[in-house]
Amino acid sequence: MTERLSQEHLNGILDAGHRGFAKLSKQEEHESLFPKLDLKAIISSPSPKKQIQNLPPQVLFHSLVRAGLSDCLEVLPLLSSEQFVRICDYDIWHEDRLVAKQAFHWLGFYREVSPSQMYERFRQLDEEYQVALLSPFCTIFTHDEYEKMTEEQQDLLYRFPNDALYYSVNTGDADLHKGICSLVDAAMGEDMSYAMTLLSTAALSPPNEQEELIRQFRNARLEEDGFLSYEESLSFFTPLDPESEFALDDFAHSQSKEIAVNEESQASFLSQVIDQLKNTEQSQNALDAEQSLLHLANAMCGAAKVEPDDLSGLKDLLQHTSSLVSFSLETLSQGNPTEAATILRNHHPKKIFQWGLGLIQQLRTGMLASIKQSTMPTKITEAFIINAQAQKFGLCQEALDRSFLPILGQEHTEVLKGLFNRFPLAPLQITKGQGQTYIAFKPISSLTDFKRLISACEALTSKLQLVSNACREEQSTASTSLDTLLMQAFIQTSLGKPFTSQAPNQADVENFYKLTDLKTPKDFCTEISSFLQNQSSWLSSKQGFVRSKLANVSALSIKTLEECEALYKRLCSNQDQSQGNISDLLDKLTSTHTLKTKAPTQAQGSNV
Amino acid sequence: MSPLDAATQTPNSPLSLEDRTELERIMNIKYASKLNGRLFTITSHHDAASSFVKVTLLKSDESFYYPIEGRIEHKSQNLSAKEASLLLIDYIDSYFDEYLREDENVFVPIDWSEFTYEGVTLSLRGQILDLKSESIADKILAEGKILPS
Repeated sequence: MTERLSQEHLNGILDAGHRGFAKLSKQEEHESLFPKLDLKAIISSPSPKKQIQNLPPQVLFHSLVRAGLSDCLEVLPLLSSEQFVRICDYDIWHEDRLVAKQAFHWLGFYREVSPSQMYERFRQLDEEYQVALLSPFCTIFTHDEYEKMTEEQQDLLYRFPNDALYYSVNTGDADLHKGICSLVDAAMGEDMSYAMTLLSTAALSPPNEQEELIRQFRNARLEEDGFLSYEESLSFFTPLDPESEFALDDFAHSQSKEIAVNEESQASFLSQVIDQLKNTEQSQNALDAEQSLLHLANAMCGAAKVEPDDLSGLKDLLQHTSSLVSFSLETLSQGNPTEAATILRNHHPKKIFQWGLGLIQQLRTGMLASIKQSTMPTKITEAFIINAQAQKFGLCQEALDRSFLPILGQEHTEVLKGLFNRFPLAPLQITKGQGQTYIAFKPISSLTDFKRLISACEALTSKLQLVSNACREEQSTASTSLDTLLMQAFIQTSLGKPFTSQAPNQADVENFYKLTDLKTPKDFCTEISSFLQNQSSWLSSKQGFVRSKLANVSALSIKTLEECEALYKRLCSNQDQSQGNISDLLDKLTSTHTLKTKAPTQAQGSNV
Repeated sequence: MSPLDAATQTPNSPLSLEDRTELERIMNIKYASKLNGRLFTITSHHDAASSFVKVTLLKSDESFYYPIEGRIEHKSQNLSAKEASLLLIDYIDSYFDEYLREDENVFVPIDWSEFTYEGVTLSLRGQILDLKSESIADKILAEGKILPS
């Protein structure tokens, strides 16, 4: 298949954790962390140069790109040399390789200001940058070499005054070719000696040597903004044990109480905390916190494979990291913004992020245990567990899509995909106009999100355990879908047999039809499927209770479909009532063996 | 329907249905965070000299319909039809990558334009359409009720 659309490439994207999921359309932009600078207002101010040069390079870079470089020609000359070098560090590299064309794209705008600006900016770069940018594309020739060439070859060369030196520009890219020629012309106009030395050095430099040197300088500078290598970045995803010293010393109380959750609030808890810092004469703390969060997102770039110039990717990471930090703060502070502000002031967001990951990790561990004990094929589950424990999220996502989906169904698989993603996500079913539904994902940014994820996981765990009970003595059902197994178990029960997922034989089917008014197997399957789909969250909340009751029911072998259907109906109709009522109902059902004579009608069946 | 549209609908595809389904699946997962309920479809076709591919990003009701069509003269460039089709899909994928990353503000020309990719010359064109509105407009025009009576 194609290089960009191979499964390996896709696994890399899924491993990054921020691209392969449908997101809610309304996401918090975290604009405060990426302020939109009014560059025109700055230019109109009394001291624009000072203001521009006081801006953090990363903020300035993204503001320039968003505004469009062609609309910022007045701003470009005001940048300090350090700012320009940092912008080059962000923008003229791709996957750790220098992209000369992008460098000349920037220099082209300086040329529009004036050729001398282009020359000055280029000369402000490190010498290694200057040579590395020209080295792959320039060859120099002496006068003797020139004389030995054919006319056609000579026509392709450019010459210095007095035929002192000849050079060729070796690239098929017209823009790059033009950019290099413009630069050499500008340099010749300003400093002939420099121009000749530059070209000679570039042409004679060993391939890639200068690029490798400048790559090291660049990485060192990027580290100041928080950008780390892939390996270092991965360390940020090491979960902190929620019971660890950090939590126990400072915030042990937060685990012991039920936390009040403000589900009405539109702003994230983190935004509330930062606003609080801003409004209580602690604006410097607020700025520090914002900068730390930005650095945290920058630090994730390595693991999430986001380039420093990728504003969209960086925003995604900011969204994910800020969300988990918000969730952690809400949990640690019991929803108290004042206490959360204290935590944020005293601890680096990295630690807070890792503490939140610790909570997620506990959920992952529980889920892995359920998967391990499930009836799913060992070959699939073992590989998944190993990859999940090794935090190989891309391989986990692939396994979920390919192997788990046919067994668990879409809804449960999506839950697992969100849970075993590098940045944990909670799935939400979105309904659009005309009843169309699709599953979107939301970063875990609050206790409400976390509880939603727990609930979805418990629903799956319940179903896995139910099926596990139904399949205790059967080996051939490992790759059958959970819903099918449950359906079979319910049919067996309705025929007076134990709660096992053995597929009904022909005699069973005939008996089953006799017991029911259902005309086709599809009717019953549709009803049971509907029941199972609707009961996921309810099963989750009552999982232990229902499991024990269903075990009793299966042991007592209910003899008629009517009784079985009545059980389903009552379970459905009572799902919002207290557990006591359901308990009474089930006790009554399981304690009486009286068979009812009236067979269920089609209409009754369709109410299930 | 343009000649190319008609061509890409024919079953004479250098890529099997399984290949195209797999490529669509990967694209739909790869860009899932930017799709907002839209999805990608791929069609392909070839004749003796040229290969054609159409990758469309669309909403199910076609109120957003963005086909990028690609063409390679594969015979003159010593490529097989399948190689040419995969190269086109690769290039169109890189375009959509940039398009979705840059807030959907990067476009290819409406008319066929030549590009070079990995030493191969190819042509692309694309235009965002609202087929749903166009269909409604056609219906109104057909009924002849443009102005309220």
